[in-house]
Amino acid sequence: MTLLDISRLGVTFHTDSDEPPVRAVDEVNLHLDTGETLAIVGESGSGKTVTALSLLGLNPPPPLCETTGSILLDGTDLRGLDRRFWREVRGKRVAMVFQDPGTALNPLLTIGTQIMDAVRAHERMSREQARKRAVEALTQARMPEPEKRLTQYVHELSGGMRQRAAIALAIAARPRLLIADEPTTALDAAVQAEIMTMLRSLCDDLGMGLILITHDLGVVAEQTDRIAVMYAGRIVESGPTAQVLADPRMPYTQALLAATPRLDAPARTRLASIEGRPPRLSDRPPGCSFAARCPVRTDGCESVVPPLLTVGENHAAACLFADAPRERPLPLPVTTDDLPQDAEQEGGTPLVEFDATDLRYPVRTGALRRITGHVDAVQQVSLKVEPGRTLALVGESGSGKTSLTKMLLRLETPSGGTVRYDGIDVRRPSASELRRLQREIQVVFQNPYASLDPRMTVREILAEPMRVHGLDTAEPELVRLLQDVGLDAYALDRFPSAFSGGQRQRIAIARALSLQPRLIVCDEAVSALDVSVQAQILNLLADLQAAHGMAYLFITHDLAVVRSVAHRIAVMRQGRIVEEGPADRIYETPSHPYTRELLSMAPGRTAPRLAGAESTAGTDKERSITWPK
Amino acid sequence: MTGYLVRRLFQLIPVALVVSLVLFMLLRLMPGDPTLAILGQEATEQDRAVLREDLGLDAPLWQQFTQWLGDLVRGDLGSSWLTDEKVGTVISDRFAATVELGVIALVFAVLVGIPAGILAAVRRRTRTDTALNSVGLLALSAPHFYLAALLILVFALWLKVLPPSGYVPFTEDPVENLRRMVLPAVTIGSTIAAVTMRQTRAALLAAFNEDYIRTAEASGLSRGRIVGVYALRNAIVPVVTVIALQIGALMSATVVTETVFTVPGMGTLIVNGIFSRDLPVVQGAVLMVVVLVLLVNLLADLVYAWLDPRITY
Repeated sequence: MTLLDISRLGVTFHTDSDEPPVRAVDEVNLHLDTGETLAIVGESGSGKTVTALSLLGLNPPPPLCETTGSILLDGTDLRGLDRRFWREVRGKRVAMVFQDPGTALNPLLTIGTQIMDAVRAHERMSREQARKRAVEALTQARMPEPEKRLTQYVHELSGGMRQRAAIALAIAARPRLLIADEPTTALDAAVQAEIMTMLRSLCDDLGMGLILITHDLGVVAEQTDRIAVMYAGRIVESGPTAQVLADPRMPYTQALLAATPRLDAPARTRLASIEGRPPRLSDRPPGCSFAARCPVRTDGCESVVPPLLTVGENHAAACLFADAPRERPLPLPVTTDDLPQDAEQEGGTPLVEFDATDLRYPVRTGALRRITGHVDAVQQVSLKVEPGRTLALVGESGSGKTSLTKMLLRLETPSGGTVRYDGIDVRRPSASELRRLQREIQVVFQNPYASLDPRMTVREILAEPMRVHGLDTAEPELVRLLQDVGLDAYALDRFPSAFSGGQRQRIAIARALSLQPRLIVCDEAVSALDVSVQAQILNLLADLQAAHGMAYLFITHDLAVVRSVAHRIAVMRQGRIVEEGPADRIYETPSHPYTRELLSMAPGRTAPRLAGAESTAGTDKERSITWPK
Repeated sequence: MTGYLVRRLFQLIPVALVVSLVLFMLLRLMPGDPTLAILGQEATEQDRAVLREDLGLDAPLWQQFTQWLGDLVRGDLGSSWLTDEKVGTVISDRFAATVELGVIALVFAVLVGIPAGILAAVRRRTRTDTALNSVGLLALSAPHFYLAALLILVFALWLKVLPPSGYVPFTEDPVENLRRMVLPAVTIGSTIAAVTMRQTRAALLAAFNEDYIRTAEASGLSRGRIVGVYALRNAIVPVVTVIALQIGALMSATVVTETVFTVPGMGTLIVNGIFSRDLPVVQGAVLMVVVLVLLVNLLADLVYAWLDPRITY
């Protein structure tokens, strides 16, 4: 039975009278049956969240934002409803779980109050009845001890429990359609898997339709019936999930799949990144939006918007060649170049050496703030980083990865043990040694939106550390740095706001490079980036290592991400290293149960791959894809 | 919580000590000989010398300070140089009027400022918003003595609905007491109301952009509940900070305002004390005000913990 039928949906934002309108969603058609699950996949800015918000009437009101087309939910057109009627749709008919439950739930109201409010917004009932419904919703979301959660606040819950509370809030008024916007991105791998399974079975139990919005193809593979891939505001491919993932017909879908980091990919090989960036939605090219980045484009692509061509049962792709019955070269950049081999072999003098390092934070209580206990953030960690090589430090949030590197960066003082950098005791360096530490160790942080000063131009950002260390800050020097990270000289006099997330991360890397460091600490440096950009940055980091020979200490929660760059891997849990060794050995024969658990939970493991792209692809330079007849 | 309270109260001691020292020294730096102010221009040098010895003014400054501090610790604020009354008694006679004035001004500010802020935020970028902001700016920039004169002119002299000045103790005639408090309280409260309004508006607008407001909207909650509970609960915390900080400004505003409206409170006491060089009274009164402001700010910190469950002490 049809639950949702969207046809020719268009959403246009008129942000500024001086600027052309931004067409965020263009000619989108979607269909969902009762109890069915649909994944909308796309990178940031592709229009997937705007599409979802228009089902709730939560885009800005006209004249700021105009919506065209029709949205039929159970046969009623939602478009053009007045405000009072929208209130009845929201929560009761369509509900949404937002990305980060830490900010999506009100910090000052109890979980119980929020869920009860959501129920009572739609049905008249006593407090006691509402309470029962809240407990019921929490139980459905598989929340442990649901009764107890009613009086708790969001900050008192763990990440997984927060997401369960957010889901309980969404389903409390028994909606017909649930939209989940990146419901697992903020969570650790193990919790991610649990939440996804729970969401899926919840829909089966309650007969609810589910739209899952995500940028991560790994997540959707097992949990959704159908998939719609969005690019630049349009649906470019849609069909049954298994079929689309096994046999993608749109070059963008193919490229996205190839760029997704995988655990079973060949180690230390280049990832297939998608070069370039999506078009500006206010200035869309007349033809296919992907044409500029597409490796198989022809002249026709740039003049005609490709219609969705049916290529199989319910499977359609918006590419002029979607049903082309001929063999074509793999429409991807070369994926098979082995990264340049490192000159240095293992066993030399380590660059960084942690020796039985501890870090304990005191717990103070009572009127006199006496120290009554300790939290052990890092316990007895011994670890080495070899010069010119990459050590990946892998663990879930709170495992002590960042605390460990903070001691190397002198942001924390070890409570026990030693930290040495190239023979220098990091805790007590002489004045000249301190300058060496400050110059030779650089950091690239997770969030490029927060790590660059918005009021400094790129020139100032790059030159500042160089001036501190008395280096030459002449223009050619700065331009060379930008070229190293794949940016042009024109970037120098612009502010960070002019750049996309991936470009900002390149600037952050250029800043780290400006001091010619011997070690770069990458603290979740690619976690905030879209898949295709992530691949670009990982490739860039590998190229830079080959060119300049610096070592990386790569902190991440995702084992698949470091597959292409790590020489050695250390797995951390609860402040301890549980396993450490060469990357290949860790991936192939993990010895610690926790490492095995991490590997089995990583979403990249189950990500389907391109047809014909077997694991031998790493060495097969002439790989081609056979297009079905 | 108790531990925090005890710790904070102990922290008040060094603050109060430093304030006492600065206050004591500042008053001694005032030009003019107190004995001249007390005895008049015609007093002989001999009389003044006797008085100086009497008041302990011939001792070195540090001795005078330690003497005063020692008495203070024992709860003795000294005696007025002019009337020989105990400073403690003088202050307790005046304290009630000022506290009443302050409380009424504060209640006025909150009752006007917060709803006005909510209205301006909900109707942002409309004429209502612009009008409220303009009135707020006027209230912020009008000096108290000017506003006071204006209010007297309009409400007492033209409309004749309120008395122009004077004070009747609450215990004698509550209605008359309140009638006479209205104009001075509005004078003082207008600035705080304007600051409160601006802060409420800004904090609410910030809260409207938070993810949890979108969640509340997506759950189908009514606009009233979203604004009044979901957003306002979060917006009110910085407003409390600002109001608490305004208490200090409020106290200095009473000095001028009480004089204009002839309210016999701490403000007039301090002003008269300064003119007549009655230093013990000024010291005692200012110190009391300082302690009051410190306590109010401590109270504000406790209110945060009550408003925001994430704050624990």
